[in-house]
Amino acid sequence: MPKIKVDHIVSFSSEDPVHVANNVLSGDPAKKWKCKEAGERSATVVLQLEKASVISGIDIGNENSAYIEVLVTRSGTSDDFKVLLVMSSFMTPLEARQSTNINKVRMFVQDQLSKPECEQKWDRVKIVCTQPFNRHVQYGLSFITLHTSGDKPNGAPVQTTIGKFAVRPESPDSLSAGSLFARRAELKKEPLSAAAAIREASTSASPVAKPKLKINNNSHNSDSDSETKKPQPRNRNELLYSKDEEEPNEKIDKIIEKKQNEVKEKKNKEVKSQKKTGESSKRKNDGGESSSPKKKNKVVEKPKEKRKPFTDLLRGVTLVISGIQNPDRANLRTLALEMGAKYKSDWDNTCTHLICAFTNTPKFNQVKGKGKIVKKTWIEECHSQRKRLPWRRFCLDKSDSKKAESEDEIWEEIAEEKKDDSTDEEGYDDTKMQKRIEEIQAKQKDKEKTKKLDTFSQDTDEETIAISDDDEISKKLPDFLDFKTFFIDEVFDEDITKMLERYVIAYKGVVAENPSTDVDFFITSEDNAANLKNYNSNAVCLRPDWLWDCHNSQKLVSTAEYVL
Amino acid sequence: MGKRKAPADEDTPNHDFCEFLLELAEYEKNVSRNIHKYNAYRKAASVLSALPTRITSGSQAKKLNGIGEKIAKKIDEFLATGKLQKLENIQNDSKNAAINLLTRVSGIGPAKAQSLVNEGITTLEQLDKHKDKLNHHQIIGLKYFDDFEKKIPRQEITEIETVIQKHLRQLDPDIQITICGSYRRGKDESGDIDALITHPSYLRKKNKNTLKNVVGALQKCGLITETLSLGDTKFMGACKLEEGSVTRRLDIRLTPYDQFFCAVLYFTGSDMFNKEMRAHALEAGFTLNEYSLRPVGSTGVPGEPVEIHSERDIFDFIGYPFKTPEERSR
Repeated sequence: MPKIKVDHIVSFSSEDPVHVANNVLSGDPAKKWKCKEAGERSATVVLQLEKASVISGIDIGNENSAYIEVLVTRSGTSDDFKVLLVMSSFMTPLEARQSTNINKVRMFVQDQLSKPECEQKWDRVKIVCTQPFNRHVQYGLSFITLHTSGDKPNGAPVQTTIGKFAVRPESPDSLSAGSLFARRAELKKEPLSAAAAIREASTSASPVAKPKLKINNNSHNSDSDSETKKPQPRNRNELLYSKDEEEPNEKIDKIIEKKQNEVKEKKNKEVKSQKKTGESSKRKNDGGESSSPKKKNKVVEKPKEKRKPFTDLLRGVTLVISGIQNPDRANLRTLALEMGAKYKSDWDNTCTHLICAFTNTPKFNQVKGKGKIVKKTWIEECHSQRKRLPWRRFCLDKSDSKKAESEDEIWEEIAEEKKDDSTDEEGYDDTKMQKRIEEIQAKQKDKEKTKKLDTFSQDTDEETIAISDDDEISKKLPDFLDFKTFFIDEVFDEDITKMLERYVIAYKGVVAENPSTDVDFFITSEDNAANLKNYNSNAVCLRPDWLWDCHNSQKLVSTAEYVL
Repeated sequence: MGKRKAPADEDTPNHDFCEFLLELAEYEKNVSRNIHKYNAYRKAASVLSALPTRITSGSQAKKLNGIGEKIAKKIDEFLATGKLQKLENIQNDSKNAAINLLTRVSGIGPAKAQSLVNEGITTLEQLDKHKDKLNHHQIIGLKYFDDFEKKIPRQEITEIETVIQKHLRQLDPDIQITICGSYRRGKDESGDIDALITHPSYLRKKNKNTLKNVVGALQKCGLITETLSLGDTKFMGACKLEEGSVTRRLDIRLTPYDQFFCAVLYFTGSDMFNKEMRAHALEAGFTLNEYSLRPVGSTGVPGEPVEIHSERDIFDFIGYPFKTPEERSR
């Protein structure tokens, strides 16, 4: 989360001659702000932010205050300050009287801030400190840091908030920690997909079903084909996407595509004559692919090491993190982004890997059977050894580990492209060529305005893929739980309960509010099964795994293994 | 909280004033349904009962906090004539008497009583014939009218507490129970039993079954005989210590662990003490309720609940001298 820059101090209630209010802004933890007299009723300081921003996180370092409150307003209006962070406790009465633990630091995230204030932009912040328990100390603040959301840059257009879909971050004009990596990955991504488009074009004659997880920009050929062929799902999609978002893009896409193809064809010739290293290996992959046309998990082992730039090692990986808390979470993310992976907060169809701390987290169950679930050591090892290690060595789910290794190691340095997502290996361009194309494209884009259009093209594409997958699911959604009544026990966490309910309803089951005699199945934990039996001895008590497994196999699974 | 507040202690010098003030208070609550007048009379009575010396004139009483022009006049009238005309009138009005009677049934409030009286139902016998006009709670209230009116001796509550504790321990050794209300304030007898339970694992995350399991266990052993209502966090019903003993009103509340002490404080009362305590909390910049103690921000928005590990902590936070439950009766 990038820091918000504070412009200056607007005013304050009082300040100690030594510990002045300006110290709040200095990064030096030894510099504090204290009120002038001991026992003042409250101490306030008002900060002016550099620009209006959404404040999504606040870190506060205390200096002898018992309570600290943060309020916000906009300097242009005469509106009163609104509460962003309610009075929060930093010292207990006992600590205050004994002046112990006077420099507590608390970090508040968006969930802890008041709504709707935490979603709006503010440029003026007022901090109110009080110390009612000890009248004999000067108190104040040692520091305050405001954060804005890292995923959504400040000036992001409104559409970034639509649904769960990944909207490409606009090229950041201000430098902020997270956006730098994000941008880097993004820039590389575009040309890659351009190359993919060539491959696409060459194979477009055979309308093979599109690989699920492929996230390429210019897969329009097959996409637009399928669009015209089956307008039905398209119509449904229009419920989610307004026409003006969609239609212009299709046109633009085609134009861009044409242009890109032209450029590439030129480059192709150049590149081919220059470099040939990767080509042979690509062809090899090609052969492998024809033997298993749809999905391919294994890649023929090659004697030669594959090499890639360090920043590209995890290209094609879109990861989601589960069960790992900050600061580890942030560190992992940073490592992964450095190696060219993409990060998403929630699992969707574009994601490939789940970095997970333990089994049976909600995300684990969601991803099981759909994506690759690995321990965090995968990222750490990849980063420290500077090579991409096969994910199966680090898999979390035991069932995964039995299978053969999924992929080759990829070393740092430049060599041919090898995508983790082995589904899209129909191409025969090598990385070098792609790189060339990248460079030239980047140059071109600087000159032209197509860059913006390109943004659109990518968006559309990602969405299209995601939706067509959705369609498949909704069409297939079986109703194997038809007319069965479930009671979901309250012993689980709220989100698990919600998820269970959703699954039951999705498969046409009925969720009962009470453990009555109408219930056929209790979804519960071991401890409470006996209790529930009291309400209805005919019903079967099952572990929630049953439902997950039903969902994974898309059919009614035998309950025998799950009975409590 | 019981149906009827304990009348003023007989041994205070001003108890006769208190009695007529409390009677007026009941009238205001039940018949005129003016809760503010009710509160005013009760406050006056509470102030008078705390006084160590006998009041000799209305003007003397007027100096006290909570006694104004009108109550002072009533005290003068009472001192002069030994009775109060307003009260006589009220007592002589049969409608008022009927309303007052019906409100003594558990589950019937002033509004229901008034509508029943308007329909011509003025006695318990008539009420018994018109059970269709009553809900489940009120029917039970009528069934045990005499039992519920009887005061519960302290000894009996202690025994009931032991029984509950024994069964809770079997259910889950971590469940804590505290009987609040006047029992906790050390009174010799109480109107009903107010039990609070909590569990260390119960922190905001609700487990709907806990209370139901507790009630189920107590039903099985025969302690709980009637259920007036049962939700996720509150049970209202009746219990009987053993065959042949009087049926008692029993409330059980399940509170989250982090709110337990605020709840204990609140349900221990007395209500006048709670009012005072809350007023003091506001002066100290806090807002107190049965769930939490929160500091009040500069714009009046309550802050995050402060961590509380005992009742004493609450007093400590707002700078109020600690009072043992016995000292909170007033």
